Amino acid sequence: MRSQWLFISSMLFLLMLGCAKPIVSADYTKFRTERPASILVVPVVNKSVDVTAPDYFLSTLTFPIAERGYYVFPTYLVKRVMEDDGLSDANLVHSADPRRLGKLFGADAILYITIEKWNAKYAILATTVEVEFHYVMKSAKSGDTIWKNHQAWVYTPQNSNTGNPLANLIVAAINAAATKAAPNYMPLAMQANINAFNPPHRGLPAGPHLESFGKDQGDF
Amino acid sequence: MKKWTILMAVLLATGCSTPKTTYDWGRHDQDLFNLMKDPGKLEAYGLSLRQIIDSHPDGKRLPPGICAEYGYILISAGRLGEALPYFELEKKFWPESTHIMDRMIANCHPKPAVSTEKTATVNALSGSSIAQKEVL
Repeated sequence: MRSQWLFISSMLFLLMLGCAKPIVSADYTKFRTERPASILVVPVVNKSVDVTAPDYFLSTLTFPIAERGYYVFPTYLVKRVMEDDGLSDANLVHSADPRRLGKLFGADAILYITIEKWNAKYAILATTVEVEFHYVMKSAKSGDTIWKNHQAWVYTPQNSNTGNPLANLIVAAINAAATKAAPNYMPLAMQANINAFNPPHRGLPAGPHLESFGKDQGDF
Repeated sequence: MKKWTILMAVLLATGCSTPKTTYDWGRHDQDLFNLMKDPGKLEAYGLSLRQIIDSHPDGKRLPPGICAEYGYILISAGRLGEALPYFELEKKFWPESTHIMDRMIANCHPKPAVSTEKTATVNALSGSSIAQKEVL
């Protein structure tokens, strides 16, 4: 009996050891030096074939970045002002000098996002929705990259198991039809954003509008 | 069986209680998405912004950019005089916006000499290979 307990507790101990992986944090040296307060999200570069993807994705970005404590320049105003300034071409904007872009709006940092994937794979039984993004933040003072992240997410609708093979097939067909009619990328895109901006050691340190601003060095 | 039902209900309720956000976003994301989908939804977006602004007169829990965005929609509708106070509000609540808000405020005033102002804007941007046109 006693040896059994010893065995169980040692297994638990090993399990805990296994879970506590050494955390490799991203390099926040430049980010900490810059301490950006305001972030300008510029037009998104689109490598997918879906032409609606950049604007749709743009609508998901203000919320998570603002909730991290940063001032985010308003989406519609930025879009229109940049169009009027001849800056609607995302590729052109991404290759432009961040310092000049920063000056136009008075921004501390520029967030450049590239959509690598934004697609739906139509299968017979379930349609898979897939998104992939690269996030790069550059200082509007030095032009240096101060933060980056990469997110890739795949969603396959859950087919509820009815216990009856024939009924299962029908459920799957309904799911596929629903997704085919309007593949919904938005929840997946939001999920990607939260995972890009929030987690310790990879996300954005708390911005000046959060109480934890400057107190989260242990996490970032 | 009944126990299970109660347990599931409790778990479901816990899952539903969304974490509190710093700001009150109202329907902002949904209405912005609708606007991106259909430019004809500008008025609906404006109404949604106005609702958020009106429910937070003290500015607490008012998200960044909301006042500026509303002001810009008023400008787009030619309501320059009405737009100005919203740009001022954005500046007051979010000093980070001062630079771009001053640019917007300048647009709220009637332009007596358009040609000179245009030259000034182009001059301000000179040296930039990508920005040459006048704003608004």
